[in-house]
Amino acid sequence: MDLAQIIGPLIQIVSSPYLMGLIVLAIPIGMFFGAVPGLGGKLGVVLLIPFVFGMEPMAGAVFLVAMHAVVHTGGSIPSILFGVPGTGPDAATIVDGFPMAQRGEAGRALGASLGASGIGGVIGALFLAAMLPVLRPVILAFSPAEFFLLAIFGITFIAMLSGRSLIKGVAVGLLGLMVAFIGLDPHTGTQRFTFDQLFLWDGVSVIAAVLGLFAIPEMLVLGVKGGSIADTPKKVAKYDFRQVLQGIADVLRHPWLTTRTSLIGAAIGAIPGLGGDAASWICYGHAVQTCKDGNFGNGDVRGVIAPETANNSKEGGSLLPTLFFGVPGSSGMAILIGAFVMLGIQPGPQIALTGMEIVWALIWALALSNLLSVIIFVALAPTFSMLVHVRGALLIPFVLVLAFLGAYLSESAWQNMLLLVGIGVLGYFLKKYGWPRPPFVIGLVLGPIAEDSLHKALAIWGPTFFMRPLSLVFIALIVGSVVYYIWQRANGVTQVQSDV
Amino acid sequence: MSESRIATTLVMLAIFAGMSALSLGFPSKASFVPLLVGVPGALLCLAQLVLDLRARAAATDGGVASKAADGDGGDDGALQPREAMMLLWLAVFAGLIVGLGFHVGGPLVVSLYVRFGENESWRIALVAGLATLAVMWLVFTRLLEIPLFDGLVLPVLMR
Repeated sequence: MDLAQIIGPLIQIVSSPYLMGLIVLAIPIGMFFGAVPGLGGKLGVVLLIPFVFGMEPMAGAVFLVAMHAVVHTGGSIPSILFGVPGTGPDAATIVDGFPMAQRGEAGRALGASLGASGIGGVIGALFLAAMLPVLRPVILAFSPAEFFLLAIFGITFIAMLSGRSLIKGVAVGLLGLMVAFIGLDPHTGTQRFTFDQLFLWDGVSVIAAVLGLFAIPEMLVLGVKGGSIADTPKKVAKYDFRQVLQGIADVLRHPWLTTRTSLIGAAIGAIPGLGGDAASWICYGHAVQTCKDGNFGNGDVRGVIAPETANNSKEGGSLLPTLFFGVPGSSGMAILIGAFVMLGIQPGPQIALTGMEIVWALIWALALSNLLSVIIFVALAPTFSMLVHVRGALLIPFVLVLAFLGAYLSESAWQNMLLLVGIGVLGYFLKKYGWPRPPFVIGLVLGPIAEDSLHKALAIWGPTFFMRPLSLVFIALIVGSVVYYIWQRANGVTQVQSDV
Repeated sequence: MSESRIATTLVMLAIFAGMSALSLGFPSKASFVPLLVGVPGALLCLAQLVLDLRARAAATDGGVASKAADGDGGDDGALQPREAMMLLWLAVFAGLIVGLGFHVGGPLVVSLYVRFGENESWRIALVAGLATLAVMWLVFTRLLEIPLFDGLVLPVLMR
């Protein structure tokens, strides 16, 4: 791999006050969305989509990734100080972080969380970088037959992991594919499902669909729930700066645990659909299993380090399937895919050929934002601790207006706002009745690639394209995944629920 | 087992069935993949419908409201008043923004929601509306120079 291609984006970022400014701006925003319980990175991306409209692809992508990367750093604040998780994956931090705060070690727990998040995030970025030389030749070896089967595998895999019903998951994935077929057929020029609406000729806006499917249902749920997001005491645990430094030193005192849980977190993040909850809890479990002298559950600092490293390192891992296969590693990544498409970055295999500069820029943005978040966290932690009292319901109208704005700006078509509402209502009921939504995004993003690849594969090899060696591997993966799922259900194995 | 759960499955089935039926009218090359996806999708939804109906029958026989057969943990209740209200608010947001645009409709609907949807004081509602206006005008129109939608009705009224 060309060294200039690797280092070039880093130099471009650090030498550009504009890009560095965007990263510095993104960090407190990301921490804000993490620190207010119930908001999270998904809504952060939704809210920022209108603001990145018109930006250069690299600038917009760096801004969004930097924001998304540090959400869990902020999320540890309410977890430790109040025992209220800022986001779902931060719940594991409570087990030991909150008892530490209760016995007067809030600063140490925050410092440990901060150090672990920073190091975990950087290791996650390095994990992503280390995987590129392995992944790129594999992707380049793919033919249209494999791209088609990859889309099917992606939908099946996500469907299994993101919900308890395979039927519902696959059906939603197929719905995403069907919606992707709306527009002019690229082969015949036939209008498909457009109902003579000009704005549908180029297909359904991914942004409008993603905003409708994720942002609208979340806001409706928040509105239905009503009241404040979390019932927390007004009194904040006191801590001083020396305690924070002690916590950071704790992370350095446990280098192997930090490294192991960072790598485990990054690897879990790379498995689409498994989600952040799995990463943090698995790493917490790993710490409990491997640290025999621990006092876990009663305020052991290693119980803070393990989940916090995983929370941030998984972001690097989850960018892997998101960028190279168009298969979101998490629901937050699903929305990021939509934002990337709006910025002119098409996630998918072709990024290995034409978009490596962007990929490296995002890796560096991940690493830089996690490093810089350490400084910003120390400065702003006391302020962020007050955010837990913000009434989330009051954010509903602003999020909704920005969702409408994002849908409109994606193609400057007012009809997209009606599409947003339609998909939003459908998304709400899908969420309510356990139909997983990420497979829809995969179908929508991979639909055109899948259709085009299928036509090409049939033209080149005919129906025998299924017999190609790599195709057989994918078919085996699809069948194996389904059989494993059925075996799990038959044996009553509990599924890991992702944050969808 | 609520009716709205079954209704959701029926909507999914109707989407697949409708799109598959429409595909039949396309040239064969254009209809091939939509049918390849739509028919299995419809069959899956049909299977889910059968599961939902069986779960409802089981719940009725047992005399208790059981969870769905797939145990997704979703809310089994019918459409709640607060839920209906939020859906209505979503329609209000769409109506006012599409009708009056972002500069007028946006701040107006935010104020209305804060005042009536969240029962906050007029003062907070006004501040929320002004904050929205400030973001729309200062950030998007002036700073980012993005032309925002003026609405379908407002330009007609302004003529």
